[in-house]
Amino acid sequence: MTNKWSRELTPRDDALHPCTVPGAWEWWYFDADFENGYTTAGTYHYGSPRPPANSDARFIEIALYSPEGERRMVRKRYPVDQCSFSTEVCDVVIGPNHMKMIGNIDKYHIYMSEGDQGLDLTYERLVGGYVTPGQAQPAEAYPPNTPPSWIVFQTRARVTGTLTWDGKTMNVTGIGYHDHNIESAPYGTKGGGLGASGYGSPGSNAFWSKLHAGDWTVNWVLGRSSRRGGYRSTGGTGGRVIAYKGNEIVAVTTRGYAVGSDTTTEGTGVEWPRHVKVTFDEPGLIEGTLDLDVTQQIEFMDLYSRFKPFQKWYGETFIGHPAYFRHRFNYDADLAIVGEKVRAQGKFWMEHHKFGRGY
Amino acid sequence: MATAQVSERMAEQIGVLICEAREHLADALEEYLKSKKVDIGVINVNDKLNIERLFTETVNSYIIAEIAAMVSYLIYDELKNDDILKSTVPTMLQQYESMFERIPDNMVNKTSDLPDLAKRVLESETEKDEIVKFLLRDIGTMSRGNYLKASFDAAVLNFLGE
Repeated sequence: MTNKWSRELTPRDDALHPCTVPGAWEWWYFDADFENGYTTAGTYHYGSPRPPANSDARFIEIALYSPEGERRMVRKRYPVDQCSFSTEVCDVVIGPNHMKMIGNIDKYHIYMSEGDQGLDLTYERLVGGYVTPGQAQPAEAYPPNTPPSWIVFQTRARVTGTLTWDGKTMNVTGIGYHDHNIESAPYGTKGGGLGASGYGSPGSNAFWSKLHAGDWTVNWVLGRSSRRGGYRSTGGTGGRVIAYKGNEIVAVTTRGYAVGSDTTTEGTGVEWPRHVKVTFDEPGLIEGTLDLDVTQQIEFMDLYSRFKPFQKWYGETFIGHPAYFRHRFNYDADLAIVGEKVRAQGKFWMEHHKFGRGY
Repeated sequence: MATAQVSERMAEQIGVLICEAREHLADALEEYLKSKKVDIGVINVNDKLNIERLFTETVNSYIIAEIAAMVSYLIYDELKNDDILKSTVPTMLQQYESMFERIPDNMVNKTSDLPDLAKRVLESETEKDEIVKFLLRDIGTMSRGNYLKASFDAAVLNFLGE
């Protein structure tokens, strides 16, 4: 939908955005939470989002999580000639796996089958999408244009189909989400670091999740810089909160922050927080807090895992240890959105990008 | 990598080092003030001497060898002269370190794992350039009094993609 917060999205926005920058990459992301307690989250990749940069990487990375927090990760790379990407619509094929829009951005078919794991899902849009105004005219090449970074096509979708876990296929229904990220360099390499966030970078951590509370949907990504970044909120530097009532965007702000506490290195060797307090801070639009208590860590990726020994030594000595997590949590939301009180409690999960040291 | 890109990357890395060093300095200063257990009030001559020592130890622990490695790598990348990395700059670092009254704890801690790390990499079966083998052997035989040189070698190995 078009209003002052976001321009109209078109099928071309979800197509491949051709780019000649060596470190550029795109991914098509989806997730879903099913009524039977299973969760899936995954990406179809064109180029590598993790260092070292590799524009020829074509792969899928799709995780299935059981209600108990068990994980099945499907990470499979295919040769370039077994993959195809349309520059007109979302039509992404990576080996036998695909993600395709059906007609327009209201409906998608996502298919993955690798060994004993698989999914065959249809996404029907319930709540629309978002792109930062001024970014990314449809499918324009870049440079010289600024990569759009983040385009959301389905903030909330009805998902139906099947999930295959260890060879056992089950019918599923649930709530899903689909977005598309486009970047000019692998995560962690912008701003100067060799494989990690560089000096002055405000993004020591970024937490991303959604809140579903009745008719309200809030899609948020927030964090706070480290001490070296002056503990700034991520507002204006990547953080963003988009609030919907029904299918209408009613508030967008960059003013807010998320701070982790009660940290541990349990299970990972890399520090992560057991509690995250999210503060929305734009009076009149969206204000209040989300308290998140982590109950399960369902994903951990060590961004130094492909680094050689002395690169790791240097990075850990001078920068910290970047990593990627997904945490399930219990939440308590106490918000006011455009003056209306929104209270909710429940269970959900978040993505956590840890770029450097500290919280 | 083109020289301009190497230069740009090194320039960015200087910022990384300075940020890390300034945090260590601020932490060391905080510890020092806490250890006095009184409101600092006026900074006297002894305090100034101690703060200057903290500054010196921070610069020696986190900046000198690494900046030397960046500049040396930049020149090495342009001239392809191994002596820059093998002897010219390391000799200067050794001479500088020999003037230290004491070796900072941070410098010892930072480099303590490097000899074992170097031995493991050296014994691995991956193919290595001659200069990489030299630097690994150099760290592997590191003795007390060569902390700056070990840091230099390790930083250069990082820039060489090791």
